[in-house]
Amino acid sequence: MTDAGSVRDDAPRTWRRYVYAVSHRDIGIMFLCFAALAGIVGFAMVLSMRGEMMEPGLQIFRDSRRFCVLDTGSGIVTLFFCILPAAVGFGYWLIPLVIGAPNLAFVRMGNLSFWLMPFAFAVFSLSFCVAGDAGGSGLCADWTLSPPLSTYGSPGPAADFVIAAMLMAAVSLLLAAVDFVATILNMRAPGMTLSKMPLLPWSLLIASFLIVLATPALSAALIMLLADRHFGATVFNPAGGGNPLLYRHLFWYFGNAAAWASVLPGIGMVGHVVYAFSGKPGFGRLGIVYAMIALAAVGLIGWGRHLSTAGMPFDLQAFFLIVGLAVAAPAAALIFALVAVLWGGSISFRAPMLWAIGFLPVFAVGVLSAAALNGGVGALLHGSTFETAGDGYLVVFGPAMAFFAGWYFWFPKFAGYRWSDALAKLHCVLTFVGGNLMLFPLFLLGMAGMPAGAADYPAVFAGWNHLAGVGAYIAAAGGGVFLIGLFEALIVRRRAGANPWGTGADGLEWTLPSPPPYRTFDQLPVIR
Amino acid sequence: MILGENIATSSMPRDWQFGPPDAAGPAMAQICDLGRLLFDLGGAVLLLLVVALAWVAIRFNVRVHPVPDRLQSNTLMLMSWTGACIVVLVVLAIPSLLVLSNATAAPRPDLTVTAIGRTGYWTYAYPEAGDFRFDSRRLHAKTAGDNKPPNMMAVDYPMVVPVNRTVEILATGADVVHFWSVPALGVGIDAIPGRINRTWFRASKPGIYYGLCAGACGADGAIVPVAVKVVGDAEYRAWLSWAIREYAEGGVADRFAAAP
Repeated sequence: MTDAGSVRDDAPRTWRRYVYAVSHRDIGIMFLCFAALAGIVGFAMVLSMRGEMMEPGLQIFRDSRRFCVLDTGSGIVTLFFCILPAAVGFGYWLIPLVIGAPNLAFVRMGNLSFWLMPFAFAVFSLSFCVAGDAGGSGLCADWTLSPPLSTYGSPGPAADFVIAAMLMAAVSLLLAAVDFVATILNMRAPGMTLSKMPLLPWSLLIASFLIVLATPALSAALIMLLADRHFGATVFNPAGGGNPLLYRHLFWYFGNAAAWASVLPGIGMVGHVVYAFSGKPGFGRLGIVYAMIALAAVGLIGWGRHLSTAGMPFDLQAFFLIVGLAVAAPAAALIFALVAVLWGGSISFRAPMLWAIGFLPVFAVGVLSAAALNGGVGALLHGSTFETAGDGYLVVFGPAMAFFAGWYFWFPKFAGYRWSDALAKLHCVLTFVGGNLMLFPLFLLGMAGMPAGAADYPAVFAGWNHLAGVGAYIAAAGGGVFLIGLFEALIVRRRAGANPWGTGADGLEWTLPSPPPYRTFDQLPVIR
Repeated sequence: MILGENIATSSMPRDWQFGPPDAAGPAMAQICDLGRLLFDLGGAVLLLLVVALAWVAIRFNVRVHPVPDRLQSNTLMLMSWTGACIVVLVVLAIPSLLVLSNATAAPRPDLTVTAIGRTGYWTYAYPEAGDFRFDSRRLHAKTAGDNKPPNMMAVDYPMVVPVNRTVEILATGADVVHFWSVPALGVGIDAIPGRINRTWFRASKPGIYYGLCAGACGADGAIVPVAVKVVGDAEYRAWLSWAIREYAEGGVADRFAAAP
């Protein structure tokens, strides 16, 4: 038996190590690579759309239907194949290390959870090659697959491929969430009570509960879509007594919870980074945990903000309005708690810290826009690019900032090498500037009345759209810097050592060599 | 007569517009007030955060402040900050609920118009005023001729309503879910198949007001404009008698007799 410090490595060799992966780190790195690839695909889709919209009329796309197919696909790729799998990947890699466990509670479930993803993505990709509706191939609906556009509005098999892909992704996420809950609740090192547990496992525990509670609603809704499409059911078809609104309730119950589930792990990571580089590790941690729990609880019941124009009665809308506004309280508490860590600290502006600090205003804009979209002004902003921008800040931009903070923080642990600090900072600046330039004009366009998802648009919206396109190209340049940095780090091979960040990084993972040996914590660490 | 040559006001967005369209009715005025409150409070919070972060970066970086403070409890500060947030949220909730109750209120309508969303166009029916219906399609540049309509927002036959009257909209979808909205009038409601959604507005200024429905509005992916022409009472009566003659017998209405 090896102990924690040993370099003996009995990992299985060649492809078996990954196909039969039973180590949390292998599953984790596969998830992260998958999410990165899906992120590149998703961002390329967004980039082509933003490029198209830099001028009114059609320049890049031959017709608006192709744009619509990409618009439908990009939302699904971003949420199901990039943001959520990235959170899962960090979870697999890091949970056992930060709680002092040798591995996951259910390793084979983790393996299944990963290997569902490439198949889901392949099935999803096939949807672009088969007929969607009379207009051509690929699914042109909206990314929520709202019926009847996704049932009798898209009779071709493309919708079935997308539904199947989303179902597989949902199962994968559910398996990962169950694995995380079991691991975090049962496999913490002796002495690590829940109140001593670091923020990342806390945030993943809470996010996992959201996924476990919300994903079944998505699966049920998707299966009912399939039943409507193929077996003559009319769950969502008014011609047979069904109601299309039911689908939107089911989907957004999941969608809203999934939005918070994609933000929470990011908050946990930002917490680690802020602690490590402020000289105040652990400051106010329980407050942050309570705020995350409150955020998740309110987020789980606040899906109605996506249905503010669906014609719900006043009482129901008032409930969702109050719940939707109430989300801002724990979110503000979180932001305040993180600023309070910085306040009076001794801050070293290493690259992960820059990302973590950049995350705070992005997250704040996301929360504020989510609060603004509630009830009152919903009639004005519903379906407009304001919604696109709000979701972009909350579910994509914010988590991306946080995940990169985490990536640059733990990359030395994952790979054993240090990333170039300058390149990581350049990446941060380009992403922050580009992301804001790309998304903020969409708020203004939405207020002016620009609808989301249109390839061609009235010329009066050209100015802000052009600026948004410039932002997208700047953010894309940031992505390029990321890839350059990755190759640079892997080629130059600056040894990281067990802890490259100094005393601030006081988690259990930094007591292990970098990269950690295949088997870790055979002797369980004891937390006092 | 139909297109309205003398458009007094128009809700056309402007390039680089910063903020919502000018209100053309009391509902939108109320929404604009709420929006401004949201914008100001949100902006203040964001500014506070950015200033705090800048201050932290200047005052507490490792060179200026090498030894971190050893304060361990900030529960009181956390509670007071959260309390302040809750006060702000209550301040926001009250006008939001007022806007909501206004939008869902049901005042006695002077006129009811049914808006039926279809892929690519809208059908408007006036069940009480002559029971006629007509469809309202986007005016393409080539069919518009020399009329120079607003690019992509003009329609051939807009919905026509009288000024300063309560207009009830009953929205439904004929094929898929659509969205009937006119931002300048502060109305927006989903048009869902198999369901009749109700909303209302009262326009206080004559003019043509535009809205756009896109995204989920049909597989053709193109923008479907909504146009409401608000006219004086006399002009409305003239239009009505014209429309009853034009649409009730033969006209456009027959084409929809067999439509789903």
